[in-house]
Amino acid sequence: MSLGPLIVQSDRTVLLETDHVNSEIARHELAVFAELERAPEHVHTYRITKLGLWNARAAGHDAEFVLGVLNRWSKFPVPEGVAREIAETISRFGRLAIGRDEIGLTLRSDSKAILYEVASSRKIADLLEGEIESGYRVRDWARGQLKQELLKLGWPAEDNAGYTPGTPHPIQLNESGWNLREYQAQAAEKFELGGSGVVVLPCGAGKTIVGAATMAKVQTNTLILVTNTVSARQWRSELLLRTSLKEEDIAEYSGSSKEIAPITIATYQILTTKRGGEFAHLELLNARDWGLIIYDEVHLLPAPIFKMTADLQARRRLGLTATLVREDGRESDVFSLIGPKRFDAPWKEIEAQGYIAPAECFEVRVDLPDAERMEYAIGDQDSRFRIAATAHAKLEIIKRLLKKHSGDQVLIIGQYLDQIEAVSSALNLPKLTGETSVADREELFAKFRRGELSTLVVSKVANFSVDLPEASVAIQISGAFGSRQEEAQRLGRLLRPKADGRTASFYTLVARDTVEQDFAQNRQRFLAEQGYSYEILDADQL
Amino acid sequence: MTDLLPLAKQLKEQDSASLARLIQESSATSVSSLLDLAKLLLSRRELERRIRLLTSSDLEMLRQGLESKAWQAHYLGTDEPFADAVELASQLQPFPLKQDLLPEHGPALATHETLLAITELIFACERRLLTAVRSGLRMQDAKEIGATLKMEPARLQIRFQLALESGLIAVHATRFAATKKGLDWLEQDNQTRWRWLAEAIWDLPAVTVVGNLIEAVRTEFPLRDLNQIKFLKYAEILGLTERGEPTPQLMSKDGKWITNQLPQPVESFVLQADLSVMTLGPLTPAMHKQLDMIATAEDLGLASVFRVSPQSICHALESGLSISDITEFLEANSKSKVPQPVTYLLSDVEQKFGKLKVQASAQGSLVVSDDQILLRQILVQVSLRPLLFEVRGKSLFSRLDQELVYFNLRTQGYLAVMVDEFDKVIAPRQELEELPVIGPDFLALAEQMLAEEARAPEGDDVVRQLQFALKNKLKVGLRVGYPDGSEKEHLIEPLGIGGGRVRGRDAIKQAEVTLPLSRVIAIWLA
Repeated sequence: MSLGPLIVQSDRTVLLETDHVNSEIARHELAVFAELERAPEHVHTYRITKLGLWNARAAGHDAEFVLGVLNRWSKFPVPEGVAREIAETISRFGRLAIGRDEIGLTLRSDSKAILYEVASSRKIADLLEGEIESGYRVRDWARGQLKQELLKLGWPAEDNAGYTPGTPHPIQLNESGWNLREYQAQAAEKFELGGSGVVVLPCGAGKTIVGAATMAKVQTNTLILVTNTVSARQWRSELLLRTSLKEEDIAEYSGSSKEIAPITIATYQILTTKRGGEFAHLELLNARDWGLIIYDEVHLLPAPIFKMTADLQARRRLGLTATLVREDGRESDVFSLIGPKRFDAPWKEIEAQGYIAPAECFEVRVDLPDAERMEYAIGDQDSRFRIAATAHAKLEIIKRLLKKHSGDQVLIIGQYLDQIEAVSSALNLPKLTGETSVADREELFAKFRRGELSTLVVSKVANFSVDLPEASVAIQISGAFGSRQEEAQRLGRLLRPKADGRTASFYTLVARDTVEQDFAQNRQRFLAEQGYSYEILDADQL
Repeated sequence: MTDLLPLAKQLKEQDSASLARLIQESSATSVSSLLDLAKLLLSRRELERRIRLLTSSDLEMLRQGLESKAWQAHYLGTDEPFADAVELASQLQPFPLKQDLLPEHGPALATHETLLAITELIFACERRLLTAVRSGLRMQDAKEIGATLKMEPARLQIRFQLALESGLIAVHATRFAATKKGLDWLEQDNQTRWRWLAEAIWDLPAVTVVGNLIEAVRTEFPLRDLNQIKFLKYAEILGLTERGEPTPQLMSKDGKWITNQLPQPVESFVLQADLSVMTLGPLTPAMHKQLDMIATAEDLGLASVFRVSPQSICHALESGLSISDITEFLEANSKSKVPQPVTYLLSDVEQKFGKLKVQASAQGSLVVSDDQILLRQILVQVSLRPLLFEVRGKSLFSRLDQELVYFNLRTQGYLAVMVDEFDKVIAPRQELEELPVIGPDFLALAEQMLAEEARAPEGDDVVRQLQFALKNKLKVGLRVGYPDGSEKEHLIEPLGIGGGRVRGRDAIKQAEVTLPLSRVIAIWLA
């Protein structure tokens, strides 16, 4: 034990004091087995999870290493219960191993007791075939489900069955006029070492480039799953720009196009479309011998895709996201089916390196006039949020902010279509919503990028996966209740570094003393945990 | 019942202090005479309680019915044991332990967590309506407070029970509240805090400890209900044992070891723009108290996170602090500059404080504000409907009491304050300091019983026993001498005493008999 930068707590959280002289080295060692949860300015919070420990064990680190790191850098003695649990958890990894022999998949162990214990679970028994020496034969399709079920039982299997290489396809990065950033290279390397998993990087930090770098390492047929068609096209242009891939190598599989090529970009929506109760495009997953599947914005992965992913365990899987926060709490499914977090970098660290734009966040408290206050007061619980979020009083504030930022590229982002319509009409500004056709969307975005449009009123369709490098001001007029990831994604629209190094401004308009104010606090949590601070302003200060 | 008189006689010889102790131990608050007490002590429940306190050697002697001075000391006989005690001693079986000791994180950390948890529980009494239930805290409360302390509900409950046992928290009406002693405890240093707790549970019987403490007690006192020994229940969380084995702290009842073995506390914190207050080490008691006054604990442990909120600042103002006091405290102790959102929050709450008041009224309570729209909002809010508000002039009236209305409004996020009849804000802490501590006065009861016994004439045992039997509907055996010199035994249930005669129903003849008291030679309770 030393007076180090770590404090290990009994709930298995570990605090890292960032101002400490040894914080860098401690962070480096800690990251091997603990997950970064929060990274505000002074103290970062990590959590030691079973998955994290098993992941470290899979990478060759034993309990002695883990406890050594904690004891070496901890300010106070490591709680005994935590030390016991770490040793116990790590000892469970690898007692079962999924392998492959000439016939197919196997599940083996040196302990008959463990084998009988897991095989006595009905859910697991259904995934196994006959007994073999020191184990069982595993049904061909059951690799993902078996791993999931074993994990639930607390006996994680070491997956030595390997990945299908997929049909090879040559891909090189085309680094003319740009260079792969160090963190992007590290992310791709860490992924390659692990085989499958998730890379977490801030919005605007170049996750697409990490995808491209990974593809260049794996050199295989790749299926890229994205959130919408606009995003699919951004991926396509980015890959054409940054890699040796040609037009004919990349196909789009979406509502408007159903092509397949060595590199195919498909939307989640098309994959989850049902016809006659069946997923109509499921064959896409086996249309080619994909060696790599990339899940963009993995925090938004729809439930059916999880199910499909369970059957894709033989293929390498890369998840990309800025906010591994799922409002449905299914982070553990991402970990067990896509893979563990392979790389993560604090937002402020990337900002300090100059790769994302600095941003200032403001919460503007808007006073409601008495008539609107009364409407809110007598409204029922369900309507109060909407009344507050769509308060007419916000229009005046939007005008003031547009005046203040008259030379800037501004996004006005809202949740409610009638509010968006009202703002758009009142201020004579173009709007972009889910009802806008893909062609019109692309045109509006293109005009905005070229500076022909300085302000766009957008709905949640622009929350993510839309690349608008010159947008430097966002005015959030309403949002989806307390969604932390939406808040972060919306700020993310501003984080592409600006040519002149400008600081971005992110305004959230909140009706004072309403539930919207409470929800705003929750929304801001993720960004606050990443070190962003909100200045609170009264509307009359603008 | 033949043992009743000897036992009553023995009780009569006790001093009032010993008698008071006995009354307290046997919870005999409803007895009014020594005969009543003797009867209670001869009940199976009370005999069992005292037999279970015997050492293994005394127990063995009792089972064999051997003579010993110990029986008088335990009210189990004269020199010879009571027959019922001998019979019962052979029947009784050891008690199983109701629950295993929960694993802790080593003596020092367990103690640190105990001090931290009880501090937080005392503050929780101020902030929440902690309803008293039989098991202690309601499960929901235990879960929520436990989450803050990173502690499973069962581990929190045992610490809560320790706080009750130590008199730091008590039941007030239907809810738990901090006592005066509890608030004093908050002011002490860690060593003293630990000592107060240890003293409250130090009931370990004399044993020679080798290895596991529970096993040692079980060997020395085979029938003793170990679940009732407070020391065994709480030793682990006070660092006195580790996985049942005594620690060196067991020998150091003064708590001096605390200073060396508990992690060194810190005196400063980091105040962040997300309104969180983070301490990078254990809190000093004084710092914990200050922070709990102005912020809500979110995460307590070796490092702690508090968060300031409108409610927490309102709580601080109610407790008598001013905004400048709070600002001064934050500036003096924060390693970082006070962020703008914190400053904004302070000034926002300052403007709103006292604008929504809850007054007590004869029939219930009134919610008063100049802001009629706010009152309207409260009136229609579904989650507040159980408070049964109705409009009374420019206020809202509820039939429920002031405290209940206040806590519910606060839970729903309203910055309500309670005010007294002079419109003065009632500090939650001040209210709790006035809580009475009520307990039966065992010494007074013992003295009263002895005084009555002294007034009773000697030698009238026949009448007294008959009266006792009459009152308790008991049968008595009477040996009556007749003028012809013969003697005869009657077993009767007394029906009345008067005119020098006892009237009763003869249990054998099934007929009513009247016997002259002057001819009763002997009497025994059947």
